[in-house]
Amino acid sequence: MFQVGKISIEDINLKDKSFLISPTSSAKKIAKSIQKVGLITLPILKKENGKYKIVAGFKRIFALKILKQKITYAKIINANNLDALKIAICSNSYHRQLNIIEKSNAVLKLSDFLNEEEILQADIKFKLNLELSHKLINDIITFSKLDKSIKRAVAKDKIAFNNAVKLAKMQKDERCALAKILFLFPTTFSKEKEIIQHILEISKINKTKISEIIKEAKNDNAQENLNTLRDWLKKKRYPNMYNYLKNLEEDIKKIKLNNNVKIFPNKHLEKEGLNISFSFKNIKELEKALEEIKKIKETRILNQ
Amino acid sequence: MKPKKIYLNQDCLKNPFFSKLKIDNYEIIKDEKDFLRNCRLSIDEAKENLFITNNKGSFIKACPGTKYYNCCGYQILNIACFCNMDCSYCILQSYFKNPILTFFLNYERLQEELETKFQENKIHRFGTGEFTDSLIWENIFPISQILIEKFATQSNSILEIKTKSTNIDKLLNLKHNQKTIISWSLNTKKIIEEEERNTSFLEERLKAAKKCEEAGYKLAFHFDPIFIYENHIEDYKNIIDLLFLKFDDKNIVYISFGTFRFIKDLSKTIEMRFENSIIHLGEFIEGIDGKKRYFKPLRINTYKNIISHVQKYSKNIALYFCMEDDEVWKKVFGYKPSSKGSIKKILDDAVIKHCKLK
Repeated sequence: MFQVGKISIEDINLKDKSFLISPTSSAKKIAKSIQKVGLITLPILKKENGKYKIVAGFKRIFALKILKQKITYAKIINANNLDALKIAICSNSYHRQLNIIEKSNAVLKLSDFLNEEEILQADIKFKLNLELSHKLINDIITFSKLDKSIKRAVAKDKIAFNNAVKLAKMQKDERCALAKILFLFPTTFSKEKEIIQHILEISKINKTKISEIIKEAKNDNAQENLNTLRDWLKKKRYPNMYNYLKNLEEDIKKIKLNNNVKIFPNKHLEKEGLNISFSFKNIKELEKALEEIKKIKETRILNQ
Repeated sequence: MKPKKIYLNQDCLKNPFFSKLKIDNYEIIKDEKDFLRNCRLSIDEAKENLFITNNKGSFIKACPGTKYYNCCGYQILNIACFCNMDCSYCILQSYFKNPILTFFLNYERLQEELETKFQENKIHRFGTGEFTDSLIWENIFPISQILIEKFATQSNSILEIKTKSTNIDKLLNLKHNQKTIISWSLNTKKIIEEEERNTSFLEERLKAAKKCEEAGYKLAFHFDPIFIYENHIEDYKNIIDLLFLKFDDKNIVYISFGTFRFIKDLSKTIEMRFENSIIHLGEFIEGIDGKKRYFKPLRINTYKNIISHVQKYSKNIALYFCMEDDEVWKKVFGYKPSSKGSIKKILDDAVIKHCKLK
């Protein structure tokens, strides 16, 4: 299917990205390696109209350019564009799990030739290692329509792919307003998900635009930091639950228990009763803790 | 019910009740397993396609209840599955793997199962409205009419027919011997309008219930699911006002209450099928059984308000919660079900009194 040939680098079309799966980054590091030990893995090229297209080994070719080499050995394949693309995907996914941006590139390029079902089948049949599902393909297609800044944030692990897909489903101005908040408060993916979910739900419940919610948060000084924003959103999304639990917290605080005694409700108050935890190192501390616990009897929290 | 397409299991052709089926065009299904395996209908399509077959399992099933919360001990008569009404909150949308309207024709076996129960020396409460609406099937097969007359001949069991429809005309002249309770699931005008597609209006349900009361039937009402929204308490109180204006409390055997609860998967279905609905976006927490429920203090507040309003009108009706825990019972009714035996005991006593069971 291929033959090894000696190719002039000038004959390689460096601008063609038909088979590019991994976003290109600096080739300086690999250039140093080639300088030291030579080119270990040959790039794969495909001849088209007298020129060569890179199928795999973009970085290596760029490294050779940096090293000002004029000629390289390469594997020349005789394949149609779809087969060349499959080879390009495999050569990337063979050694490591592709990240979501690479998977996204692979799926979008495959979709020029195949429908959704055929892409799924090709993934299994040709061991492309994309680990696709119908949902992921749909999410990738949705994601591909996103603004560059959000895509870049996903590539840099600053926004989770799933969260970005949610953004992609919004109107552009709403999406930009929300993305701005996410860029302002970089956090974990789960907290990011919580912020997006609360904002979307508040917007739907109150029939309010996302941009208006964000404006309101700003007016309420809720954009001071991540925690004030999350707290404000919780209060807005679950007002009764928030107030109830805050009041309970206040009542517990009023008991003024020592630090080694803690009182807390069951999760979401669904199960009746309160829990107490305390720590002690000796009998004296235990007796002290038990005295502390007696204080609870005099408060109103047991009557709620 | 007017299904677009009817499929009939070929075994049903030999069924003694086949002649009672009111269907014209149908496609014969030779291999049921294969048919169901390949039956990939959307929920909308499933509501327009009917499969008539035999029930291979038991017709009588105990209500599965749920972990931790108190159940009423109702027994399901599994006459059919799925529903052509279209309520956004309906669990049946997520319950069946390959949904299709399904009616079971092998009534002779249901009869056998019932006969065994009728011989027992204990009270049974049966209902057909768990996996379907009880009264959507009558123009295909008069199942409720047959069951009502069957129950009239015994004295230890009651049949509950639960509906959101007004299809009661054919029931009015039957000999029911007060062994059938006809019940309506009630909700506020706002919820019926926004969330209960293809069901009848509140006034129509109450009119139908009135006709049944006049025909001597005992009645029950279910406020389940109750939704919490702005001014919801006033809306539910208004229904209660209507109820006691229209009906004699002596004819109402029980009223149940249950706030909206749902499995997580239902949220996705609601978002897909009912784009404007926000019923799944209330102040929900994850209950001990894994289902989403309103935050408990909100449930208790709602129940207290609605139930105290009922109690202003009548103290003779058995009131109960569907799937609530002891704390809710105690804070609203002032007692735990176990202090009166169980919910089953409370309801059994109510049906013994109203339906003259022995």
